[in-house]
Amino acid sequence: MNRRQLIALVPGLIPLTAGAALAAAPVKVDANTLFNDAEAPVGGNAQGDVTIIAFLDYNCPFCKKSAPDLDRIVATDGRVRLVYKDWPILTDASIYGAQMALGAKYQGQYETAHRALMAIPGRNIDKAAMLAAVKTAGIDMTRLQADIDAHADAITGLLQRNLALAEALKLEGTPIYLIGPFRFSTLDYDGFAQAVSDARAHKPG
Amino acid sequence: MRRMRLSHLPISAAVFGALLSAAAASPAVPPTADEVFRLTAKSDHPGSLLLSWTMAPGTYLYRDRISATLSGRPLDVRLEPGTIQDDPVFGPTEIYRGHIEAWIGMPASVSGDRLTVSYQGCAEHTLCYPPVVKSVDLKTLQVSDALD
Repeated sequence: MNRRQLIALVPGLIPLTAGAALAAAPVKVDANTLFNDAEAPVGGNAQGDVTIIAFLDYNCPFCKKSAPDLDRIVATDGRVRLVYKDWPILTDASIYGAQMALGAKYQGQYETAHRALMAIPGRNIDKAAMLAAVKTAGIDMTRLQADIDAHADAITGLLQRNLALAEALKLEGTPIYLIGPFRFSTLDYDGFAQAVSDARAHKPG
Repeated sequence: MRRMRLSHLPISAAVFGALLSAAAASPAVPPTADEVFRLTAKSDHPGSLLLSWTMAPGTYLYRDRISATLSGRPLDVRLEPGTIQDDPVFGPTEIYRGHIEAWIGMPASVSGDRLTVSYQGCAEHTLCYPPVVKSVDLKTLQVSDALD
């Protein structure tokens, strides 16, 4: 996917399918890409002792179901580092949403856009609904478009690395949460809490 | 709670992936799409191909996500009606569970050695799979990953 194929902030302009859009040239990834990709948004405590790496899609109902509990465990625990891996696999609109969220990062609003997209009610969310949600969340849309234009290659590169990571790790689908040495799919709050506790217990001494 | 070990971090993603893959036998996370959706191909008549999917319990395929191409040209995929599910991703949607067959008409005007087949589905209540793309060798009818 090149710069021309990225979105403009008008619904309907993504020319490729969800599968084809990101399946470009092979991308090299390693463990550092997984944990410390400089382009990947990070939430929670940057110095936290447990890292949750979340592979998500904005049209994934199970991602949406888990999202409030994920936010809650990060907030209540206080020592969790959360790495977001946008992995849009379900619809073209999923790619559109991921590009908007990642574009919002450049104005320091990734999590604002992310939460707005995850909170959209209903199913098979289209690009117009995603655009409206991001607007309503208070994102500076003029700046968002400018940042998406200016950082198109960086955004595309990150999405391609996320895709390559998911393939290299043989991730099953969305959501997948890598928590310490464990891998999970949909979790509720208690599940996240237990997973974080287990991850701490398995940290090398 | 479902879980599986990632093991310690290796340097390369290939090694990392191998470790994860090896751990996939635990009941932690739903199995991979390849493990739950089994695709086979057979041909009873020249010019036609029968694709069969067997789906693991608790998983399903979307009818409108099943497609086939030959040399980049979309082919007619004839499927029996599925059941309508109020799907958490797409709303009321036609899906298949258990087993489904698709008849592919092979146009004489299109040449090619390999058929490309795409499909997508979910594991109920837990996970949505990425699209799966397979390649069917039209001489041997063997199914492999499309990138092979």
